Amino acid sequence: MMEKSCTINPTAITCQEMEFLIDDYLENTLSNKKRETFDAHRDYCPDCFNFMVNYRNAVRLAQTAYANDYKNYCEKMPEALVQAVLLATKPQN
Amino acid sequence: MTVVLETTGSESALIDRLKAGDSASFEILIREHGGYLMTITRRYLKSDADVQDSVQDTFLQAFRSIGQFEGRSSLKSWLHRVAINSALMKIRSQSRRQEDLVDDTCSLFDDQGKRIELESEIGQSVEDEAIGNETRAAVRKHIDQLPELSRNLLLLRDIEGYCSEETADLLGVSVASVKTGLHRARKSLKKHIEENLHDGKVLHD
Repeated sequence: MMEKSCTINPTAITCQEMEFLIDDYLENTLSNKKRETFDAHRDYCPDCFNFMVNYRNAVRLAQTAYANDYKNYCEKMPEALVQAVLLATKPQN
Repeated sequence: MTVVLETTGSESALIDRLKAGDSASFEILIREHGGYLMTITRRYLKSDADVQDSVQDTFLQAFRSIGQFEGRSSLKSWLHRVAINSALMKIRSQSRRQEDLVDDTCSLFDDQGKRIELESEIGQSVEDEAIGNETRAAVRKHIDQLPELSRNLLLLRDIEGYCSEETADLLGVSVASVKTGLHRARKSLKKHIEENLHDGKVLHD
């Protein structure tokens, strides 16, 4: 990765531009050329490197924080609510 | 990231019975998915009364629109989206009552059930990192305290796994607003984590 990045000017984008591109970078929707420029800048600039790592980790932590309610949800619909829905959907005679 | 889930054989039979108006099948649907939908809805609404109202609306809408369900996703995925729509509609109606600035020109509900392709069936897209309950609670608390639009953007994009276009459709905002708002929300979360967590542990509350 470093060898490839060395062929591209890491200052072709600014730190501000790097931040602007980060979401598309993480979603892999940047063009190859922009991605290479992004990678070069990331490897060159420690602030941007740290920003990207922490930004990506924040997203992952959020996903992890909610993961268990899918896996282990144990909430039950109250019986009174079940009956209310059934009543509301009962065909009117 | 989105994943299309095919309907199973037995689910297909259930859908047929639902479309035929079989009330016993509808009760099966409610009992099977009610708890799950309450969990989803609780991400968006705070009070138990609002959650219950919204879940009731979800099933009423599902009952009305099951005829248009094409079976391109699982029933669970379809209900998931209907539940999010119901919760967002409730938030919007509450916001209007509070005279907040809300763009109410967009109908949130797609009762044609188009582009139903959920969901990030958590676990497939998320690294299953072991984080403690305290950390989990701290992160969720921060997300809960984000401004309404930021919170919903984060939930829809990063937690539910909807793409920018779907999120824009659900929230009635432009795709550009989704992207800028999501970036702001993620940055806020990053800052909070940097200030309050270290190596996945809560530093202070």
